[in-house]
Amino acid sequence: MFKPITGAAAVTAAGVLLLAGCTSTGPASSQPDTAITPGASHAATTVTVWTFNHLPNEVAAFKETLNRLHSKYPWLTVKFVPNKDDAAYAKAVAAGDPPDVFVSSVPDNVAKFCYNGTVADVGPYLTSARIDAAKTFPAATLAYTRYQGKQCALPLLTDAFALYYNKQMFKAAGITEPPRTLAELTADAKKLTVKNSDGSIKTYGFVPRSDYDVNRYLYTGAHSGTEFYGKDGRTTFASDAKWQQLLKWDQGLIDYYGSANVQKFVGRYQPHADDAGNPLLTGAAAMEFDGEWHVGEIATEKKDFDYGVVPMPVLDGSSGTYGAGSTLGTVAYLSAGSQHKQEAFFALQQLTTDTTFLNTLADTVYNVPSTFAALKAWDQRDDPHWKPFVDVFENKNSTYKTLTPAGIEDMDTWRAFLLDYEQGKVTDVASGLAGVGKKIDDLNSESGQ
Amino acid sequence: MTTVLAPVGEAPGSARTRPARGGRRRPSRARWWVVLAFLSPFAVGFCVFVLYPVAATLYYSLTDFQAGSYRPVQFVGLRNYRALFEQSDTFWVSVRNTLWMVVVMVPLRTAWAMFTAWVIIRVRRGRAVYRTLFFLPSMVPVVAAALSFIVLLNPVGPLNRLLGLVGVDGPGWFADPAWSKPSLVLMALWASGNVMVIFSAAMLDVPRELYEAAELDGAGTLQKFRSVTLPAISPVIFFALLTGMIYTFQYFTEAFVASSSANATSSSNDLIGYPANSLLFYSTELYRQGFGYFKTGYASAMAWLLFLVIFAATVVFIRASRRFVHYSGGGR
Repeated sequence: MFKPITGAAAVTAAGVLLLAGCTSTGPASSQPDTAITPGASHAATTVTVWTFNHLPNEVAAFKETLNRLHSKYPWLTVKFVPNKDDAAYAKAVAAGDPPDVFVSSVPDNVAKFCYNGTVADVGPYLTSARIDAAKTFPAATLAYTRYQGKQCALPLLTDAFALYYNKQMFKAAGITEPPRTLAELTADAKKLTVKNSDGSIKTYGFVPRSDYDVNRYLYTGAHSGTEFYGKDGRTTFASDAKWQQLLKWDQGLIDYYGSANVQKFVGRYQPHADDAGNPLLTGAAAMEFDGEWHVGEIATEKKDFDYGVVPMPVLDGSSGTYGAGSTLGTVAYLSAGSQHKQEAFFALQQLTTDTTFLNTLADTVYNVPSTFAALKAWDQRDDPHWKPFVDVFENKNSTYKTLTPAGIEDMDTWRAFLLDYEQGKVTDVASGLAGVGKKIDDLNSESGQ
Repeated sequence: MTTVLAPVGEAPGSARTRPARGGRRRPSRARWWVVLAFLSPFAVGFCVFVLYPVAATLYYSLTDFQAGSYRPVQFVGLRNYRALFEQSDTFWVSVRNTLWMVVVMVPLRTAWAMFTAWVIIRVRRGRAVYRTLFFLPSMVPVVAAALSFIVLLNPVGPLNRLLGLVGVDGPGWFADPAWSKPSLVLMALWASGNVMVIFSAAMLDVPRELYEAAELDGAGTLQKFRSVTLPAISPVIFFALLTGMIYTFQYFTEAFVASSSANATSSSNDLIGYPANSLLFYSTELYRQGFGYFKTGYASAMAWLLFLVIFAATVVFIRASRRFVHYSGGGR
């Protein structure tokens, strides 16, 4: 009996070792060597850059910059791969073959990748290249690219959110000033609502439901004087009464239109949030919360559309934060597993700090440039439609929620709760908020927060 | 026409009929190597692409492994399995949605395929044409079919416009949590041609004498269907229900495409389950956990649980089938 048992044990042990060996092993040290001197000669190196960008004009803007980079520094060749998402990146890391640089569309996984050691802390590289992050990148971008003191990514353009409104409709309804508080927004929305003769709604003043377009960013705290996470790192849903106020405002407007009508609106316009069928453009909505890219879309789809942009109104009693908003954007990572970190950082540095590239790409994808220098040089910054976004971006109170190793799971949990609430599945708001807060806190504890 | 394969090392018809003195000849070691060499392409493929991934997911399901993480993997025992039941709301949403599809879509699809087959075999002229027409949708790739239905069932799409002409305010279909699953069922009915073909073959295979005997006994159309056709095609019904159930427990592509196409936002996590998690099925939740949150260990636990559930459901269904499945020749 001895032989078969030892044989089986050996096979099992070998199997477990094999399986265990197939999880990624830690990368080498991420401490930088001497920074690359642009004028000095350097051994020929190829680095790989992956990005989520996939539209032809975006890819062309990247390629143009990278070609320019290659012309300027012939030793550096960048293999550029578009159309990659966070999942593809994680798989490449797990397979032991990550790209040297990865550009992601959202910052939600910054803390997760940082905590897991997936990406390198670029802080030391910035220091060695004599780049002062605080003097190069606005504070709002640093907030969503840092985790526990580490600079886990660099911003590459950013998004800001604001309220779009139809000026003609405002004029027709006798509204002279755009709203500054959510109560004013509700009053204006009601005035702007137009019904058809059969009682159905022709024009909605404002639809607040959290799953419509980018409305989820209305509920991260930036417009209610609240913080998603308190100083102790725990959610504030149970402790800060303003969350209840915010939800009541949301439900109040949904009730005004009727749940079924709001469902119809969301169902019909969600697929057209970013095209010519957008409700603001078709006259189905008088106001809309949206990102800065919508300015570019409107310029393309309906050039003569008469509209205004102002900061999103804030919850009554939070007037001190008017002018701020959620800000988050594209982030660029340096892979911890990169074999050419110094060279990869050099490419990353060009992509995230080169003013010409940033402004060209910003004009191409209709985003806001993400360095002080690029913002200053940007010819759109004083445009009446773009300026409010630049102002929101530069506002000291603008931020995104604190990022945690749970990645986007905390936001998904919150959004699931919001939807349940908006569909009437949460009867007791206070205990509902406490419940979802606990769930998110538990999630963070398990994830290593 | 049955072929009996002789054991390895024996010439057919020789070893069995003329056993060697002293008992059966043992196959030589050299011949085993030849057999193994011929088997090796399959064996290597099976080990690398089936056995290893299966074993790996079992191992991962007992760890906190996250794809893309360089943190040391910790053995966590059954924690991932416990977490499924104790912590995750979306897990239970996905279970409810999946069971809804198993209970509603599978029987409806089977019944619809049976009904269309029953109608088609009664057509005297152009039966092949009708059968082809009904079968064609099942040849359309799932993604293309889903995209077509998204267009057709758009809240302001062709179907709702038609309904509008007759004064009916059409629903939001894939964009409405209350109608999204029924929309998928409609799509499944449209693409049930492959099952219909099997049913029509089975129905045509029912002996004429049975119908004649039933007619002599005064049975009408419905009674003949109930007492002759149904028992005769019960193995096919069983097959359709069983394979349909297994497929639906793993339902993914249609739901993923429908959710992503009905939702314009760019974040990949937004696409899963839209609208309002009504299209969040077990496999899409597994995908989100594994590739949205990178929780490979947790997703592996979900995969193993799904395997166990499908295995148990299959065993139960096969055992239960003995009561209603009749095989020709009296076998059960």
